Amino acid sequence: MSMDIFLNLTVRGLTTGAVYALVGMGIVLILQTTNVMNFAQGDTGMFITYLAFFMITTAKVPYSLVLILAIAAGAVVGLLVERFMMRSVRSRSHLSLIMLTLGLSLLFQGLAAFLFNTEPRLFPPLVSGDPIKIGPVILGRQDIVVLLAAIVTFGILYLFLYRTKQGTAARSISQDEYAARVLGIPTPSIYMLVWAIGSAMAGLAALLIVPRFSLEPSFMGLVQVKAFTAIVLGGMGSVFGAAVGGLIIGVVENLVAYQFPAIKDSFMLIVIVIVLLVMPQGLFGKRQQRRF
Amino acid sequence: MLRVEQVVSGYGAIDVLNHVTISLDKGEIVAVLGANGAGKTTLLRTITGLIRVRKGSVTFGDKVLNGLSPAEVVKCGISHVPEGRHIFPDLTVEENLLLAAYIMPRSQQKSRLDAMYTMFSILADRRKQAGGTLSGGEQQMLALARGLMPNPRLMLLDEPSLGLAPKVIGTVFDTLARLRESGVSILLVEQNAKRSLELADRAYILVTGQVALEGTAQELSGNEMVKQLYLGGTR
Repeated sequence: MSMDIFLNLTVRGLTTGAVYALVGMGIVLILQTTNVMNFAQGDTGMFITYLAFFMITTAKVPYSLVLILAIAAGAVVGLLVERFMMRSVRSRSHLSLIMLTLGLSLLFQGLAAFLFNTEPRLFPPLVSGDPIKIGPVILGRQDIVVLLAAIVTFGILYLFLYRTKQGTAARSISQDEYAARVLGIPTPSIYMLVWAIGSAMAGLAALLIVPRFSLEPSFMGLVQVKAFTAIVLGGMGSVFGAAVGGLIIGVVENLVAYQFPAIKDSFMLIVIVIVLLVMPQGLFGKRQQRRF
Repeated sequence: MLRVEQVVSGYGAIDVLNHVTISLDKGEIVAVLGANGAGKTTLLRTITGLIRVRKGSVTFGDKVLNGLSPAEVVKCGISHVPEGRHIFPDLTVEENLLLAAYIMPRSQQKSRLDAMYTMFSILADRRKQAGGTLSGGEQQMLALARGLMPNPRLMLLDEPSLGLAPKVIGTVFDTLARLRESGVSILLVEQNAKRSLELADRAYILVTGQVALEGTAQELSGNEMVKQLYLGGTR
């Protein structure tokens, strides 16, 4: 592998990794605050992408507006899921909450198939035009958008968590939910907010990566698995860890795919197993989680 | 000011409190004593809305607290310092304090923060330090400061001396005495009956979810049963 190829594979891997990071960060945000592993994160994004597709093709909404509308739709979906599904089950059984997200995933897949049928569709990239050459690296315009979007999202998420009182409250709930309630923090509205942000991120991530695949009800399945790998690698506990984990997975996957195309996807499952065996706390996990 | 009347509450199928009636007037320190499992903590949780009132009523001033969420109860002017301190370990001292004044506008938060740093100078020195790095005594001071942040009229304190060195316990009780002078009423749940009765104006003794005895702190300190059971008298 020449240096040029290596660089190209790495940078392109970073763009894929940025999407894994986006999905993973959303999962970790919801997991840390509400203590629920959201198995529907990927398919929430998938469903939003279908909505976006029909906004573009049927309603002829301009692309830039679709991006904003899709993110908003993601937020609304997250809000509704927390308010009308999670909230009523929260006080009863924790396992049911997790099962509920699995059900939600199936619900979105079924809904998408029912409303839009399962026939694969081509989703146009957000930006078109010739790839851009930066030194030896050739990068598609869409890839650049993906990278920028991930960086901006990470920045916004950081500011939310560390500079707003709602974000601080979300972190406090992740450390000691009981104490947060005792202090009079309105935990239900923080849960809704976090679900809204997490689901909006799912929509954005799916919209960014769908031009690589074709739009069909199952297209986020593998992305979700890889986002999980990213979280495990990053240590479950931190949004930062999920971001770094996502980027690493993206790059490694791309390099492996170049040498051994056949094991590209299964390789990531091997990575999960190895990480869990050798360093179950991941790269940035500090200690056993307090909440369990 | 606070009236808990004939309250029944508990967890799941079990009623922990059985028709408990207590009251507290403005400016008072009232102690609630009792063995483990008598329902002291449950009483505090019921007042702050962490547990639902099943029967009876809780009123504060002329407000009925039944059915309010903990956030709404804090807004009414009642704060709750939970047993075991429950400091957020990875948040800074300042973040811990600010969260306790979540509902306040920013300008007010600032002035409360300054007031807390004046009152607890140790916290001012540690404002950027993570809560988990404080010593037990410092954490208890932070817990008390968190309770004071929303500028409450009534503070509910659950075992503020638990797990602290004797010298630090002295500091905690001195602080509570200072709080009384600043006009905050206190409902104090404690294992340390001797110290509590020295500090409190009145006290209730809970036994298996019912008020077994009540009176002024002086009366109870002189009571033979109290002496034997809670003040370490000889049997």
